[in-house]
Amino acid sequence: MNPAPIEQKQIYSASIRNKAFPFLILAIIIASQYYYDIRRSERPLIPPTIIPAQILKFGDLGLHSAASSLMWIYTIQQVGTHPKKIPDLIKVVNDLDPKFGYPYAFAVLILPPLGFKDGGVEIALRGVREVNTDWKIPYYLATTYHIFFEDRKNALFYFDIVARMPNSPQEAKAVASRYGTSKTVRDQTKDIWASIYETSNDELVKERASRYIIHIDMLELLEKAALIYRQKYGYYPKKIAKLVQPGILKEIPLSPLGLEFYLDESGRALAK
Amino acid sequence: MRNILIIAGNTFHQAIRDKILYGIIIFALIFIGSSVVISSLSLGEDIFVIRNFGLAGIYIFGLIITIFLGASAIYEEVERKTTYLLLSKPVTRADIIWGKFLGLLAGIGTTILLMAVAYLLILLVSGGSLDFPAILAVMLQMAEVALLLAVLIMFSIFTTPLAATIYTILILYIGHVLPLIQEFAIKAGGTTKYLLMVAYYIFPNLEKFNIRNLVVHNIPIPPKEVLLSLGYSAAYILLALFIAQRLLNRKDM
Repeated sequence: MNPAPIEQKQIYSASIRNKAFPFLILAIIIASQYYYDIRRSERPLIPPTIIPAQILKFGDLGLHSAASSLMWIYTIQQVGTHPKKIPDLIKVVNDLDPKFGYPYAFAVLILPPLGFKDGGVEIALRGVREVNTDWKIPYYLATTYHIFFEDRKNALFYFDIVARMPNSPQEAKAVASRYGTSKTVRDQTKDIWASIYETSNDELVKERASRYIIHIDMLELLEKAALIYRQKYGYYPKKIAKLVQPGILKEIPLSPLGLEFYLDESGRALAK
Repeated sequence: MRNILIIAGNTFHQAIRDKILYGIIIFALIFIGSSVVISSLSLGEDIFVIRNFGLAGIYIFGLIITIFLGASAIYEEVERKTTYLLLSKPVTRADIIWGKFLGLLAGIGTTILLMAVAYLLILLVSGGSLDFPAILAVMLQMAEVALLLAVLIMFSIFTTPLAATIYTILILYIGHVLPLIQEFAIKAGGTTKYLLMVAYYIFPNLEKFNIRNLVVHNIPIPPKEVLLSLGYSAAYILLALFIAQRLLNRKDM
């Protein structure tokens, strides 16, 4: 009987066990993390806690602007999940750093479609006072007055500020100085969104602007189709779906804003 | 002066040989580097966020390194009896204090410089320009760190490294909320006002050295203000090291 091969085999298997052990533990860790993430996605989302800026200022060792940037990134993450909390979160961002311009501009452009028209304007008005060098704040504020309030007087006032600002880009200056001279409000709106798309680095704002532009293009397309229908039948269709039956349109487009198109008696395309 | 420089040189070499220090520096560089990833979540405000987090990283890790190196500066020397060896030579206790201070400051300065270079490179790679105002912010941070180091050395003479660390963190915290304390004192009035105002003037006002919030918005900083802050730091360092020297003189060695 020779014990050596058995002993060698035992040593060999012990060595494999030793080598495999950490990998096994690592696999368990990864699996538990994966399982935890699945379980977490099933849990209801906890609303963000809003800590007043005064308290944050007490604990940030004077790094107010860095704390504001961190809070800003946290705020953006909440846009999709807790839109109602965004106005308060943006206020904290700017209470920590009143000179941080972009949150003011972002608020006035993003909050009105979420149902916070007055909140957005209030934040932007503070922004105009605190950061008088950032053209985006008055520009987006004028846009909001124009689109969401149909307040041409205030829109003109803030567009005029942008037109006179030395650092505002040409696209914005052109729209701002032309404001009030376009033949229709829709043309003006399209111009404004096109300039916002051109001048913004923010993907969220760009995406929003492109949706509005496509939406307006669709309105124009539907009105042209309605005109063709009228030329063919002598009257405008009562229902928008009628544009498909004679083959004028393949289908009624879907608005990227999630709205439903319809036609009024004069063939004007509208959305509800 | 020669004695001071020799002690400073030795302290510097001893400080930069510490392996834990390398660990902290690696973490600091990872933190500063990660600002690029974090900034990509900021919706187009990348450079602003990189500047904010970069300067905050240099500051926070600069403080960690200062406390780590300074807390046991004199205490360990006394415990290991190396001070006795030094004092048996023509070296005064003041030489030890100043030598230690300058050596540690050089060590901390080297690490802060390393972090600042990493920050500037990251900013350039991310499409930013050479951030001259940030260099000024880092310079003022050095003045703050020097002040804290002097206070740490003072504490490390009469207490343990842990206690010295706790006291310094308290001083650091109070130093940054002093403007808020002043605001509160003015509103409070009466005796509270006077007590708080005494604290306001005695504790080191570390907010004097904080120009980071202005630098990230490219707001110009008046040179007079910078000079005044540097002078304030120098005066406080002199006071702390003078007290440290007195305490070491009284120590039974």
